[in-house]
Amino acid sequence: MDKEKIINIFLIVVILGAVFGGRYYYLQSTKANSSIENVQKKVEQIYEDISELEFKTNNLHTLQLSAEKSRLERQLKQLKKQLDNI
Amino acid sequence: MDALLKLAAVLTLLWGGWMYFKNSDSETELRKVRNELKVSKGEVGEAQASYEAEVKKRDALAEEVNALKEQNQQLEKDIRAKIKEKSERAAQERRDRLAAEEEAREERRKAREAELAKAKEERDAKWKQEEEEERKRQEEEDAKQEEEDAKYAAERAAERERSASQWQSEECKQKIKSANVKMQRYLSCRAYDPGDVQDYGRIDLLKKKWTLNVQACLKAANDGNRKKLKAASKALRDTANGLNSMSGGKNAGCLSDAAEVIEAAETIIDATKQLKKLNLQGR
Repeated sequence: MDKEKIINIFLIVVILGAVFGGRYYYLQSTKANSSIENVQKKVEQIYEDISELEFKTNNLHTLQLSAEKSRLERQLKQLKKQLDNI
Repeated sequence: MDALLKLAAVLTLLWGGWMYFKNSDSETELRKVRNELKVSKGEVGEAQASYEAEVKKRDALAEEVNALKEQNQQLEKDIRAKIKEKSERAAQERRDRLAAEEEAREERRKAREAELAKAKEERDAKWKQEEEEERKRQEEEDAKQEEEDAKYAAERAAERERSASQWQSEECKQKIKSANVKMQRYLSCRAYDPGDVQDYGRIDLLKKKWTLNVQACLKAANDGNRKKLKAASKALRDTANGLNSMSGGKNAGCLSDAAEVIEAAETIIDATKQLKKLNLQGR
């Protein structure tokens, strides 16, 4: 075998390798893009869920309840005082 | 051919390389996105945990708030009950106090009424007594007044009597004086001396007798001696008769004169007697 042939074979192998490799990477890339899309969707969904959770958390009105509790505690104190004074 | 092959090789290598890098980018992107997903999963877990904690907190708060509300409601109920009890007690005390005051007022009223009744009784008794005393006093005063009136009337009567007696005595004196004057006037006889009377001397004598009789009458009258006056009057009447008959009835005037003289003498005696009486009364 002469050198050219080897080079040609090598080139053909390179070409084939590049093609198949390229094709592989192309497919992987496509797959990755698809995954990226899915994951992005998932992430969006998660962020939506987080927003929803935050919204729901805000709607729990915990602060208002806490304020209500403080108010009721003060009222309780006053009422006890009032009861003692009667 | 070699050139094409080389070109193909180069191109395919380039394409392959490009694919590789594209894949690398995609892988990197994917890794990035997966990290992001991980993070977001962590975040969502945290958010979930936070939410659940918040829910628990909220539930706990809600329970506490409900418990506080119930406690407050109970306290308010207790306060209202206590206030009601206090006000009822106060109302009862007030009612008792009012009842006691009413009772005390009633007793005071009764006591006052009794006092008033007693005072009225005393006042009536006093008034009666005063009225009695007043009546007695009035009676005494009336009696006194009557006495005084009687006294006054008596005094007035006495005064009048005195005046009357004074007047009467004056009258008597006047009568006596008039009678005396009259008698003095009749001392000289007014007998008509008719020229043809036979016994002229007897008329003259009778005239003298007349004068004496009149004087006797006058003296008897002034002495107040009725007996003597009677005798002197008889003598005078006889003398007058004598004069009249002696003059043939022409000296009837002598009879009336004699009557006048006798009347005057009697008047003197009566007046003198009355005067004496009046003088005695006046003393």
